[in-house]
Amino acid sequence: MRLHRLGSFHQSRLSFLRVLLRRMSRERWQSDRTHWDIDARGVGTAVYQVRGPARTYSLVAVARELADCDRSDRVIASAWDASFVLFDGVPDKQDIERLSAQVPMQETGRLSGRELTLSRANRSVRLFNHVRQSLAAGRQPSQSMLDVTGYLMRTTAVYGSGKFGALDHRCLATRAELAAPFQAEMLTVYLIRQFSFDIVEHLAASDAPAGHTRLTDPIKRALGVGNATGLGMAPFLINHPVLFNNWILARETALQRVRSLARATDSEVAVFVDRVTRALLCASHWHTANAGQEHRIRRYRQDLRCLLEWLGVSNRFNCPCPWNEVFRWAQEHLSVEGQEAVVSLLLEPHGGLIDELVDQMRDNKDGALRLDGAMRIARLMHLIEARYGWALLIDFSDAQQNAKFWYVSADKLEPRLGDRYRESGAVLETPLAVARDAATLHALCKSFEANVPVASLVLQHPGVRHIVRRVQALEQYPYAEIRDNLISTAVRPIDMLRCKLSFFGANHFDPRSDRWVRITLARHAPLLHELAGASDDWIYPHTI
Amino acid sequence: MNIDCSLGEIESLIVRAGRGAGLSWGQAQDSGRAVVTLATAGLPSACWFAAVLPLIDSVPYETRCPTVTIAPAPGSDSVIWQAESDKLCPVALGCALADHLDLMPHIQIECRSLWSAALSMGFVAPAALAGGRHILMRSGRNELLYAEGRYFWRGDEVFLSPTIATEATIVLSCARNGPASGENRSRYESMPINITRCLVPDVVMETLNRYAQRICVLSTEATRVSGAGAGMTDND
Repeated sequence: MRLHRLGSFHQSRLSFLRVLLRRMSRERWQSDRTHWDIDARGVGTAVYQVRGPARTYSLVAVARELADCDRSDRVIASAWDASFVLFDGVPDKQDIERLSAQVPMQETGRLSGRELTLSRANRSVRLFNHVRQSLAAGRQPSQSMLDVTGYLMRTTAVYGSGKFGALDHRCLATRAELAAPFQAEMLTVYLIRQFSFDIVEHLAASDAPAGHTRLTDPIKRALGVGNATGLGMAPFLINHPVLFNNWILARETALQRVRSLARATDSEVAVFVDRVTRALLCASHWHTANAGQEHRIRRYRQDLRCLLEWLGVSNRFNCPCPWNEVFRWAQEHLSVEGQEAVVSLLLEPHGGLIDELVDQMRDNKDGALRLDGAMRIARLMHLIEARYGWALLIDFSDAQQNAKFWYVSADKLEPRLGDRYRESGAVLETPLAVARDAATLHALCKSFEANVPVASLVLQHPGVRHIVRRVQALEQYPYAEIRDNLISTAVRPIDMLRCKLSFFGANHFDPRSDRWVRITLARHAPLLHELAGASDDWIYPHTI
Repeated sequence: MNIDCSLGEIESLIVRAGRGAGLSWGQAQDSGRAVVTLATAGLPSACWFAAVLPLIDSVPYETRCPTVTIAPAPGSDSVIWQAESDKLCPVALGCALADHLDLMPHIQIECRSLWSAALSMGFVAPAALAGGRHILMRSGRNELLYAEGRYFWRGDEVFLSPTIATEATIVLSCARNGPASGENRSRYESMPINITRCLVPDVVMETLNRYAQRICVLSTEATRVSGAGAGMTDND
């Protein structure tokens, strides 16, 4: 897939937050706030427990007082309003004490095998303070301010799988509730949302013990958790090609199943039209300060209006494979943003047909890609030409095509994108230039006899080892590669961010540059106490 | 003091440290997997890898990689692999062994002047498992066997200690798994499987981090200004 299309993806039934909440709803998970030791300044600890049929997990929150001038979304920040871990089980007093010391340190602290994630969040200053003051004054906050921001706190990182000593994801593979990708991270975010409600109400109560009020449930429901995401997320899709393949393949398989349906039932059609209508309502509340995205959103709203008009023609679904007709019409008439929204919407009425595909979205091979040394050079060249032909068409002697380099910054070991010709450090480039490396390998292969084993090639040229393995191992994974040059001047890292975030279940994409985006998760989701038995249509609310 | 680490963070650190010492990215990635493969059997592979980093750093690849011979000379059932520098690197050896395994059915390889010998087993283990082979490494009276996804050993405990990083001549033999290998296995002590954490001495972590730091680009005011999120109002 091309970056431009990946950068237009929307959340869907297969998105990981929805997968988690469907399970919690279906299995009627129970939850409690079991510990609240936070003072009038907002400093202290809290614990939330959620209990599924097999296990209990706990969010441990450590809140602090942070001056506005110390608050930053950037990964290089060193202090946050609150920091969190998802704990495996029920923490005791010693656990809470240990985590109170380690968790606020984030990347410089140490976790144990009892912790599944590490996260931190900052308040949305404008909205948080407005809500706090409104509640302290005994009234509900302004609807328009709630609508524009959409969250009280936004996370700036949610680390999982083994980071800083936490439990590896591979250890969770046998737990049904966490086996799908990013379930522990999504549970963390969902519980942080509840914490954001509790802390603002707590502070309002502290400000005005006699006259304060609480947020109403409808207002809470309309608030999610914000997230600010930068370049750190971008290399993930290249570094986990099998996982990435499995995500796209599941989505494409789901779409294919729907398009192949010979008929559409009346109830399916009703659900689809209803979701399109509600998607248009959501789109009217999608705010961004980014001119390019604003243009896309305007076109997207127009797309949805056109679609509703087209759907309104009688007997529209009275044809063979009607869902395929919807898809084809969208491809022909809508923007890429609109086309990808239609893909997500087409999946909505067909949960019974597609929801099980989430089981195929993990990487069961655990990333163990092996180099085949016995393969002959001729076969390797054939693979490159067949799978990376698009890369062979790029002229890497053109400075524009070779302009960028990905590297690891000494600041918190975060990925960065540099300018090869204006910045130092290109010798430390990380291996994300897949297209260039495939083309280099292809050229190198020409200097070897066709029947020479690949083992000889990599023995003599260890520098191509990573790309040889990648070309060989990904032969069976049709969607493993982003078919674009990731080091050209035209690359927009934000497209990779949006793709990944859409699989998380994010919406309200608000790009702040071509390498940084804000989003919202869990907006309109059922509240913790409403979750048991809740339906999965919350992502497209009836009213806003 | 030991640091309780997840295998994921060790793998990531090994990759960066290996690259920092001078491995190619592909070799560094294989090193990460090799160290984890061995660590799941409770072996102190991160220590072995840290011990070999100075060799990687100081000896050019061309002189620490093995000279690979696939076919034994007439009348012999073994081949000799050694490095031009007399300092055979277990990473280069491990990669070469894994890559050539399918080209060498039933063969003995004598590897001379090998550093951190047992480390190379982590590289070849996945290839052996995939190819239905077992690999036996002998160094004097010490033997380390990998068969059907599990490590077995016999000999002196010191052979598998975290500090064993001296040069040794080893003999590697590989063959198809079969009933005979099962019988022989009773002579060995089996290693654990699926260990999910590893304890790494802090001095070893310091070494790994020092090498890993070499792949990082120092921030400048210019890169900070052009970084994601820079210059934007993010306090709203």
